[in-house]
Amino acid sequence: MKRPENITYWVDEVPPPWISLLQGLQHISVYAISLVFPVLIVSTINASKEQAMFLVSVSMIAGGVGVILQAIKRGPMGSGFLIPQICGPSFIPSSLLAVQVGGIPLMLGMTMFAGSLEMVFSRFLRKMRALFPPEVTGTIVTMVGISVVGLAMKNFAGLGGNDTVVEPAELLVSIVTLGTMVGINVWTKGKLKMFSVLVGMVVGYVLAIFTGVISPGALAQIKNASAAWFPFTHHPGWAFRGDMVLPFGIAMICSSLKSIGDMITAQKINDRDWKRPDMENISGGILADGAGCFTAGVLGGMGQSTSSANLGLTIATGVTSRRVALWMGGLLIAGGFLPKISALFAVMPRPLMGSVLIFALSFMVVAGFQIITSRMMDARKTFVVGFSIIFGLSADLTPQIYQNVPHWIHPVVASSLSLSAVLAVLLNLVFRIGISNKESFRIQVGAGSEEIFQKMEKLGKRWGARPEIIYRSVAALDELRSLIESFPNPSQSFEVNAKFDEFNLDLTIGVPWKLPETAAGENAAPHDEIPTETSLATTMLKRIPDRISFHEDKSGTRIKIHFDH
Amino acid sequence: MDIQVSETGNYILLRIEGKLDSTTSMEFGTIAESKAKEKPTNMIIDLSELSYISSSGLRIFLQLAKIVKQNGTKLFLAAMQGQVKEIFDLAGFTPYFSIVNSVDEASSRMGNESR
Repeated sequence: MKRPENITYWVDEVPPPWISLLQGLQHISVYAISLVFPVLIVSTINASKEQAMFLVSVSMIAGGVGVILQAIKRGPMGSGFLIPQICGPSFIPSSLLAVQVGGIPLMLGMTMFAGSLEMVFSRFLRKMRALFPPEVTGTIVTMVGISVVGLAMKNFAGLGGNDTVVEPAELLVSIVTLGTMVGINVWTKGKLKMFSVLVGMVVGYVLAIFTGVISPGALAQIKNASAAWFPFTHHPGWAFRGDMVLPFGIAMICSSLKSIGDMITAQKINDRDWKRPDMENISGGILADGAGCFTAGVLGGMGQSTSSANLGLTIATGVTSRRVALWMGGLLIAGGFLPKISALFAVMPRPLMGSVLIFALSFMVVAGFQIITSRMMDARKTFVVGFSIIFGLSADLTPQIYQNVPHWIHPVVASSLSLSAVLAVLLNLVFRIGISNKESFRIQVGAGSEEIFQKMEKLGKRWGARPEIIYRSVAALDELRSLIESFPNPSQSFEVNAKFDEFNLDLTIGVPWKLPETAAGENAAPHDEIPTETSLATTMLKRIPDRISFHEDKSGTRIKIHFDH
Repeated sequence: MDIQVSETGNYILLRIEGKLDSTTSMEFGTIAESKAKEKPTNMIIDLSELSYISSSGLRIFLQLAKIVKQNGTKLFLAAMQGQVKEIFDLAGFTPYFSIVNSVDEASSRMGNESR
């Protein structure tokens, strides 16, 4: 891993305690948006105020445990990155179903089940790498951002629940909050930039109080909340049902796919030289994600999954230090026992939620685009990405299409994110049909590099190879071409056998000569004596690939050129 | 490949566009070397639009470096793009050339060094 330039506190670096504390609070302010989900779920069954408060408090505690497990990396557990967990939107449809069928106990029992399933799933991830190429994970990351647009915009305009009127005061709070966050992030440097969201939230809260966007009732709710409480005494117990296995299983798959996307983003933002997803690391991350979800089920919270919005915040602020995860985890756990703190976030006005979401998710959408385009795109990949996004969005834009689908498919079509994620994985499998990872072609000796560029770039697109590897393979073949050209009786053309998989690009070329022995690889650097063309071409041929070998026999030389991918 | 040559009082500016491989290097070499020999002045090569360089192209730069050294003048390689830079690094040439971010930087360095 190499430290990216735009990072202020990198994953292993330790910021001063006050920065970690404020960063932790800032992450909680983004995290707090997801506390709306458990409130929303219990509101559908007219649960008591204590039950709602219990669910919120314990979700916070489980979120705290989750972010710590994710960051500390002990044994197989954790990715070692700052990736906060939130009440997962992927669990909303199945949790709604569970509370209606069997109340909160059924939701908790099935959340435990989903967490255990995710932990088991994490152990098989390494073998499933082919299912998650960049076009799949990038699409999921992009859709994480896009799928929240509706929620973000409604909140930004101050709409939701029974409120269907866009009020000028709410709009003012939204615009000032978002403007403050963006302004600080774009036009300031150093410490202030790290706290753009927190400053924006403080400005937003103050303005919301002055403009009456926070009602006096909400302020009274904070005031009347008790100073401390022990939530676990309100635990309603657990229940399980066989017919809930499928909805929660599908919710777990959707949640894990999104978390995989988040982990890839975390790897990418922390490594200047990022090339491909590290599945071992993701596997540890998903294990922690599952453990967080299981903990939520056991203690009494809603299903957890990693938070893309918080990850967006780490990109925006350039603070990815895992020390922040420990502070945030500690604060969340403490918050679960201190109702005044949870109440402060629970009354967060909608315009503030909308502003934070729009701010953070902008980074996620762009991070997704970057992952998608890290490989050369061809028609197959274009359809994987395009179809997944278009059909995926139809789940939110034209839900009537899916009205009559079988009951067990409901969790898949319940949101554009889950539909896109499932489609991306399936379409990638379908489009792998007919992709040969071996190809032979001829190169004209007398022609320039252009022909090699055309042939290799075409192959690179079909295989989804990284553009820079294809470029280097062209450079190596071009040097070989000039070497052959310099022989006394060069042939008209030579054959290249190319072989590709996700880790390797191998080129094999047979020529009917012995290649000249040169002092290649030693001194190409400028001297008074300029090397001959053959000598310089041989030097470059040996230096451009990651490995090259020459096997001589009676029929000539077999050259094997290898690139790590 | 396309080559543009312009001259000012202080230096000759060569701008290369496209790919510098064994089929195009000779043309570039002929133009650049004749310019360097005909007028012993500093030279800036604008590489912002150069997308590829092979060993034949690298060799031309070695020859140019030798000529300017003999002339007692300077050669600047300006605005080299990422992948071309990587080829330069692999060849081990980077420390031996004055590589600058832009033509403006090259001309201001020339000004400073002549003072």
